[in-house]
Amino acid sequence: MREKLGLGDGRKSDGAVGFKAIPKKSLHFASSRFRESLMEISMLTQENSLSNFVDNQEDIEILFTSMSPSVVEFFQNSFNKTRFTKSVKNLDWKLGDTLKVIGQDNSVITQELADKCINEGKPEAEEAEDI
Amino acid sequence: MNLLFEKRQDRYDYGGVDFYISGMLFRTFSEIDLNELLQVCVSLKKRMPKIDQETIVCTFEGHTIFSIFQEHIAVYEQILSQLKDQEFENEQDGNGDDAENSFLRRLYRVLNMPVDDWRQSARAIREQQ
Repeated sequence: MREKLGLGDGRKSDGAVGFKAIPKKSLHFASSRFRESLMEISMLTQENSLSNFVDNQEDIEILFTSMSPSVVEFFQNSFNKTRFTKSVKNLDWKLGDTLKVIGQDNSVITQELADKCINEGKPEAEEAEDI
Repeated sequence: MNLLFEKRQDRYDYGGVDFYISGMLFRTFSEIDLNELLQVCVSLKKRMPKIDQETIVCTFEGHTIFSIFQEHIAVYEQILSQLKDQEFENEQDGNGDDAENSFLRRLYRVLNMPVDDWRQSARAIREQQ
């Protein structure tokens, strides 16, 4: 009856249903092969990022509990690469640092902002004068 | 749904007089795409054929190939193997700057396009219950 009235089929909803992108739905599919294929397809594009697959901590938990080579590779390549990030050529790294995750809500970044992010708010690394 | 027609006429020389005859069946790209999807459907139990690149990035009434075949892993794996075998060179954007390949940019949009659920038939629901 609910189906005839357009009220849905009465089944309990879960993460795999609703008006969402397929990568986000795929996290909740019974088979992990779907999301692994989608992750590999997504990695071919430059703008792929983790937020395309996860919405919340529960989604992240699903990924951590079903780790596979595809998921590990996706974690390593799930960062936005845009023409703005490409324009940042020479960062003023602190001695010993090799990796820094810059979290922000947009993909626009400048050289100056990136320098401040990796040097904790300072325009350049403290050791810069000593080198 | 966008309809895109290509009008093509063939010229025939009939006794020194040119006749232009339209020898083409007008079909929308969407119809062609759906026909190809149908072929994919039919062959799901057989060997998966090559899926046209344009079909991969098409939308069908708000659905994509990924949402239509969300229960068929063979389609996903076929798309993945096809795309992995191909090389996508960078292209220039409107400003002349080096930019990502236009197909890959479209693929990203299609992948991340929100899609609705498939409505299940009443019979399928009864069988599940």
